[in-house]
Amino acid sequence: MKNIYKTYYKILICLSILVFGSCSNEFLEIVPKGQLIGEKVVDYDKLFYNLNLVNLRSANGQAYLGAESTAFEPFFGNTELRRQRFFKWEADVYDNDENMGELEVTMENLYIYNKIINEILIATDGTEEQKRVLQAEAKAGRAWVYFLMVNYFGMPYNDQTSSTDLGFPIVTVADLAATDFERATVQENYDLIIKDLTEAIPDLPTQIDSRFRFTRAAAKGLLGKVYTFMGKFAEARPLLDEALVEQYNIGIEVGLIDYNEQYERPNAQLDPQNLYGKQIVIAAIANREYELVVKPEVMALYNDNDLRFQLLYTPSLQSGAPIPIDGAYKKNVGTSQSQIGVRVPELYLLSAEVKCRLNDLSGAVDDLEFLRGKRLMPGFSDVPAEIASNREELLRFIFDERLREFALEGYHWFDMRRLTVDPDIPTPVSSYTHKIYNADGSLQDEYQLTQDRLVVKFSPTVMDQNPNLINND
Amino acid sequence: MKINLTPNHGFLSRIAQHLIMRTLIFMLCATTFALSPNSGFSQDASIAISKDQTLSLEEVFNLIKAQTDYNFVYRSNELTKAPTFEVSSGIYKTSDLLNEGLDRIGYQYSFENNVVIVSRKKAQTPILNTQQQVTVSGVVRDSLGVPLAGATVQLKDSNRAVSTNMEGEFKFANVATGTSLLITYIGFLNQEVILTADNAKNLIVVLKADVSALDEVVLVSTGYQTIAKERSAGSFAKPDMEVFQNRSSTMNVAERLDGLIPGLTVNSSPGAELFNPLLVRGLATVQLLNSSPLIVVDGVPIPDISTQTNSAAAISGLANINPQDIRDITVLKDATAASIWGSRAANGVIVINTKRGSSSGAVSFQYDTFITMDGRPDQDYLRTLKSADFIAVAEQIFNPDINPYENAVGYGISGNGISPHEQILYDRNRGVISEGIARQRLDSLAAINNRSQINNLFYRPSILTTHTLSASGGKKGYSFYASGNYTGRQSNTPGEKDNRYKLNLRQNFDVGNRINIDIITDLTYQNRFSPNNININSRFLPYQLFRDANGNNIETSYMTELNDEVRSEFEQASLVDLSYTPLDELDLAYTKNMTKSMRNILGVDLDIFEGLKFQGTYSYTLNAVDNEEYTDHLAIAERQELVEYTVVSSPGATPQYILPNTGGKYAARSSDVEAWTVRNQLSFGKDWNDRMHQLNIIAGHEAQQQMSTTKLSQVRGYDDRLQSYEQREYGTYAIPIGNFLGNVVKPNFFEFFPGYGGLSNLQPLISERYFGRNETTTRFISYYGNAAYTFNRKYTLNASIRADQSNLFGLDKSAQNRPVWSVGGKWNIGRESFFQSADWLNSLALRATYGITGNAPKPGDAASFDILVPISSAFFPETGLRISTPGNRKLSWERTATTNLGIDYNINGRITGSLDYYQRKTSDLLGTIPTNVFTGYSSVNGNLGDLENDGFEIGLNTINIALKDFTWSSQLNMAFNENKITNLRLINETTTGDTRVNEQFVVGYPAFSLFAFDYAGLDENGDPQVRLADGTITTEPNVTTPEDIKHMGTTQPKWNGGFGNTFSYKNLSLNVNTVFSLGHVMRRDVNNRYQGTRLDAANYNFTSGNINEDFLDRWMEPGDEEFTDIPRFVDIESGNRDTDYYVNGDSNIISASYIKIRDINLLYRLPNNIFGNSGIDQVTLRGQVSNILLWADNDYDIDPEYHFYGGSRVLRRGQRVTLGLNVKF
Repeated sequence: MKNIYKTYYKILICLSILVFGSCSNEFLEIVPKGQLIGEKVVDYDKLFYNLNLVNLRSANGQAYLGAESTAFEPFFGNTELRRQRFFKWEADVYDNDENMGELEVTMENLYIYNKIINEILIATDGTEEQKRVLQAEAKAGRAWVYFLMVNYFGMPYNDQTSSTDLGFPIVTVADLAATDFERATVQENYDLIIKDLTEAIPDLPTQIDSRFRFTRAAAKGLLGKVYTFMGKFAEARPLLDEALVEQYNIGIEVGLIDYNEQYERPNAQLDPQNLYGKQIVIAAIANREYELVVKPEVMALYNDNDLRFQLLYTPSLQSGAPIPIDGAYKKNVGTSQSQIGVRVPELYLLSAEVKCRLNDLSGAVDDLEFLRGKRLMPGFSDVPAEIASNREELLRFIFDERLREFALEGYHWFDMRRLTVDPDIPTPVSSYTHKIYNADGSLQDEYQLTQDRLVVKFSPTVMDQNPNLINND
Repeated sequence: MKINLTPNHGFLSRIAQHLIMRTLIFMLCATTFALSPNSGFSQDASIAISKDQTLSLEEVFNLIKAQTDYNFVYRSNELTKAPTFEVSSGIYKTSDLLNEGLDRIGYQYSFENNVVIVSRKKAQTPILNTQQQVTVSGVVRDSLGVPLAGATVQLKDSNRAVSTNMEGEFKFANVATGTSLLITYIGFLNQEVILTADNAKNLIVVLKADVSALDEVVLVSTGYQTIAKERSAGSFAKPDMEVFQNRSSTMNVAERLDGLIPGLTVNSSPGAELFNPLLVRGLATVQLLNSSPLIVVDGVPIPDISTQTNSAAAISGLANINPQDIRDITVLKDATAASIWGSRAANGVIVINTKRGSSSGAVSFQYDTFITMDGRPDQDYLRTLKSADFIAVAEQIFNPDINPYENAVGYGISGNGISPHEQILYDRNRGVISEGIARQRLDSLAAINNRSQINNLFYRPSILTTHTLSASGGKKGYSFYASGNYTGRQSNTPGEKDNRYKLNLRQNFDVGNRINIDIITDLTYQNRFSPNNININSRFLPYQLFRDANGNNIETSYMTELNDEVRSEFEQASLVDLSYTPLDELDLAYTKNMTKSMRNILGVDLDIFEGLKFQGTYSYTLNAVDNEEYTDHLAIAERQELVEYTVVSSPGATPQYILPNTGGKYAARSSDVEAWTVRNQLSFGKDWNDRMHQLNIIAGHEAQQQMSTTKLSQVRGYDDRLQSYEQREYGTYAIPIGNFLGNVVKPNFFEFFPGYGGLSNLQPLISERYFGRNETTTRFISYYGNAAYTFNRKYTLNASIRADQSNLFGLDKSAQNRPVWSVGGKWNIGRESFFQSADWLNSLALRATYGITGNAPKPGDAASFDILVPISSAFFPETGLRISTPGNRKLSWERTATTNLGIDYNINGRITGSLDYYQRKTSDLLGTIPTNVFTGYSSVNGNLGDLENDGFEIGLNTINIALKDFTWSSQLNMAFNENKITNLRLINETTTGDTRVNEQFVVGYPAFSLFAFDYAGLDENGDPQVRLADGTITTEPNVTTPEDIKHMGTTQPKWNGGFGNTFSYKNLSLNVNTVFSLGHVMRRDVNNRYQGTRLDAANYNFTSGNINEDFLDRWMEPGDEEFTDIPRFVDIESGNRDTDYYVNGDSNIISASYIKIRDINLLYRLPNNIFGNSGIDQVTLRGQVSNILLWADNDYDIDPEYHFYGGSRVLRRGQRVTLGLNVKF
């Protein structure tokens, strides 16, 4: 009897080992379908195809800060408070507990870029070459975001003060548990941008199949813009020159749209004027939104043969009634998406500006006229001779051209900021005003820009989260 | 009372089974067990005596009990006096041991259903010469006069036996006088009656309860094992199954449990029922997900078979369990009870065992049916404006300067229709109609009330019908229970159908005398159909009728996005009718749902040696849902879409339809959830020295998998008759730039010229998924062990441990692998000598336990690493990746440490109950943590903080009156729970009152707290004022800080429970169950419309348009602030006030306490004598009314079960009435 049990125990133990022991790691190590943890180089490559890297949505305060616009009732009063406060150049734009539109998507971009920069080198299934390319792309992306951030929160670049002016916190790792961020200086921000771009440029691809991927040409263009904003025109010039040449050979269609042929603003992914695409929403440039219109002084910069004026502006409301402000026009580009990545027309304008500043006036005029040729009716695109020969007049003309090209699309605010410290045509802060009119066309209120308001303040939420963050005044 | 003595069963893999079978058959050949002819033992088990010893009779019984499943029933005081006798070591047959011990003292035993009944031998009855054959009839009752159903009445000298019916009655024909009748009933002392000619009619047998036997047989099931409650220190609770079974207004197990278990909250208030339909001892998690207890049916957790993501899903599998198939329910509340379930037990465990057949005797049948009716809902409960008021208000606030007609009818790529009353107002304003006509039209709208049409056309009474036929029976070595069920549910939405059919079969086989096999097969088939109903209630425009006096359906095209002008333009261009008549659409779309479920469990139980057992459980569950959705091309949504893709090249040109304009859109989705469990377990149970030492140990290993697969396919232009469809390549219609279609009638992307020539985005059509597939797999591997040791039947120690590992994707290894464990002790103080003299005390025990249970995040829900999911967009040349869950490197499992102290008592057999105090400390709560904005994301799933629950529970059962024909008994279940968040790792400190007011989880306050502004009335302008902590009163927005905010309480009831009373008089029984929830608060539903110029229904939304009645009492002119708290209404908000000061003010927080009669049940058992020989044993009729609100602690006529705590009402169900019938034959 006992022997039988012994035999039986043995059988049981064997069975137990069979069933109990056959477990474990293989059984548990399954990867759910439809999800993954980035491990392979190809995963990191695909991370660049993310709509949140393209649509920065409400990072659009610049559109309301720019002085090229004016507003009237009842439309202005109906827009959200944040936009009204930006327009009035108020210090406290965000209510308690409101998320900052300027940080919402841009910080997620930073997380993705930092993740790629820090993890790509240990990714599997790819060559070192591929990894370097992807890391360079992410660095260029990070530089783009930082350039936007330092222009929101830091004072315009100035050799004298930037090493002490406060900029944006430097975040170079993707870590959700991180807390208590502090601001770096404007100089440190620019250093990071320049370092990222300089390191990235040699590794970046020259050929791409999507304009949401950085190319060497786009990075050079961006670095050229950064140097221009810093007043380092000599450094900017070769970069812009190269970008303007290289951009035509990146594997996808890039160039200026000729308004004489047709005007239809394409989607971001098809827009040949996007050398690198990122977009924000500006309701004022869409067809049914009247929250802001372009003010008469700016409209006066167009002449009647300017196709931008003919195609993009209307003097009346949807109902057919006129806009109650004499000379003000509603801009309507056909979509509320404003392209703010790296734009071909801006590269020509930057190139013109840099050449002008470096006293290559004819070079500047060539760039300008190349752009104007695609924007005005034939025979009207030349720069007037008296302006073409005067460095300062030409420079002003170039800034006017920037307005004509980009009014209400979020570019002018950043120009206004740097013009306050411009070495050639300094512009007093107080010269910028915003006006709000009543529905009957009478003036309701007028606001004047102040030095403090050249920067955006961090919202109460951001300040609460980061007790050691120093806010702008 | 039903007592089940069946030990736990389990299973084995097929191979193992095969091998073990062979071994066992061999063993059976080698060992034969003689059956003693007189013993009645079906298996005369061998008893091992390890050494020569002197034993008392009780010790012999204990020895047998320890080594077998047998239980003993005897009169203890007599047997304890029996002399001891000597036994030498060796293996004995049970029968031999018993005969040896009993014969000498003039006792005998009988055996049935594993119960050994010991009784005194009767002196030999003198044989009467006048022996005659008589028919015996009688009744068996207990000492309180309660009839004992199912007692066995046996003729001593033959095998003839009958069971008593529900009345305790029995009948025997052709019995010789002088025969002994042996009446036995588990838990009662046996009684013998000698039949005489005199007592043969109306023999009344009164059985005495055997208290020591009674508490011997109260068993609790953890799903892994069934052990005597006496031997466990854990906190278990069982519902009164009688109430549970008779509460037949619902087939939902959860609803039937309401108020029956102390500490189990059944939430049926809106919002809560979706996320926390069942809660054990308050919340152990602040994430609304995963808060339901684990539901275990027949030893296996029922898988989440729904495709929803909320935790109602966790109990969704419960819907397929027929309450009538349930034998018993045990709720495991503390760590000792529940920690055996490891990482899923943090929220408690509900263990359900289904019925099984008994192997004694004939097949018995039972038929049960009931019908439950709910009236139409109460539309007036929502408190919206009546038509006349509505029109008056709309007229008052109308402001065409702010909202010009051109804007209202403006149409780009979207727009709104103009409601009839607004059309009149605009027409009057524009001079289209005269003042007089306008007045007349408005007045006629004001005179119309559509509530009765809403209730009659879009609602109906709901009816639930069920029929269950069950059979059970068996013979030696085999038993079965089988049931078939039909449930028909007519919802209160017309046209919906829902029919469910169930088959359940449970079989038990003895293979030889050491193996028992248990097979459960449970099949469910459910078929549902919903037509295209609109969702409507009295929040819709109050004057809009849907059917005119002639029975014609009324058109309401203004409910579309097109106003009349645009619509006629589009209709002319597209030649497509774009009008909308809701009642005409009823048959134009449908959803069909077919669910097939099966639950299979195979259990193998194998006696190895001396109390050592192998138990295997092998289960497989499949739930397949086939879903079909069809929308005809004539349905409004399809017509609108058709026009979006209708090209008209120039005005007047023939329209070209890009989408099919025949058939309809058809989508089929099938979701399968498959789950299996393999469990192998060894158990060992033994006692020594007259139960001086009792030991039970189980140890096992378990592997589980759950896999859900969803497949989807969709076509357009589907013709159901021909089963054909149209495949079109939409990309070919695109214009050169982008995926756009030009010159469409109704642009959905960009409008160039009003009317024609706009752009529609083709991308949605091009990228429309014709096929999709989705798969999720969850796997667990677990090791567990549990031990219970009892010393001298007084002191018990329990301990358990379990380790779970899962395939939790994206989780760092260090974040799992944390074993859970528990320890507990119990002192049966009632057995101590100092209590022996207390006659009134039948039993008293003290319990104390401590342990850890866990809660694991769902795979992919929270992760240590970034989890990426695909994203496709026309922007990108290939599929990209997006971060769906950013990684949190510090993630770990949620853990709950529970301390439980308890007392169980039984006083005089009439007052029984328990009292438990617990403290649950949950740490590393899973939740959404706000992160610093500079990190890139505003929140991440992670470990949020710590939470503490304290509470106590009272379970009290009393027999208040017990007369011959009348009894009254009561059950009180009461639970008090209070919790507090002790730590929250919020990076984002709350610095404003505006945030605090909307927070539910704040450190130092209970979870689900409700906060409010200190409302200080209206100022002279009718704007709401807030009082700050420093006493300042202001209307200024954005000024409050958290210090200014008042904590008003919590939205979870502090007191919760039920109070049931049962009255029986002869055949009639009345049961009243009251439930109560007390001590919580809610926001009142107040007006929250303070700004605007229009009262307007949103497109296609028939639950919008109307506003709260309170609007009429708002501030209108200076001085009103004396009478009203309701702020003034403005055209445009200036930004200088905050109406939330009122809406979320303290004056609008009210008590949510209520007491309700959940149901009143009336049962009538037809007298047995009317059935004669028809074969019918018993017929019971039931009637029930449900949900009578007795008391609600508010003055606003709010029924808290039909009110969101955040301040809005939901439609209140109509009165519910149930009629039922139960027949046993």
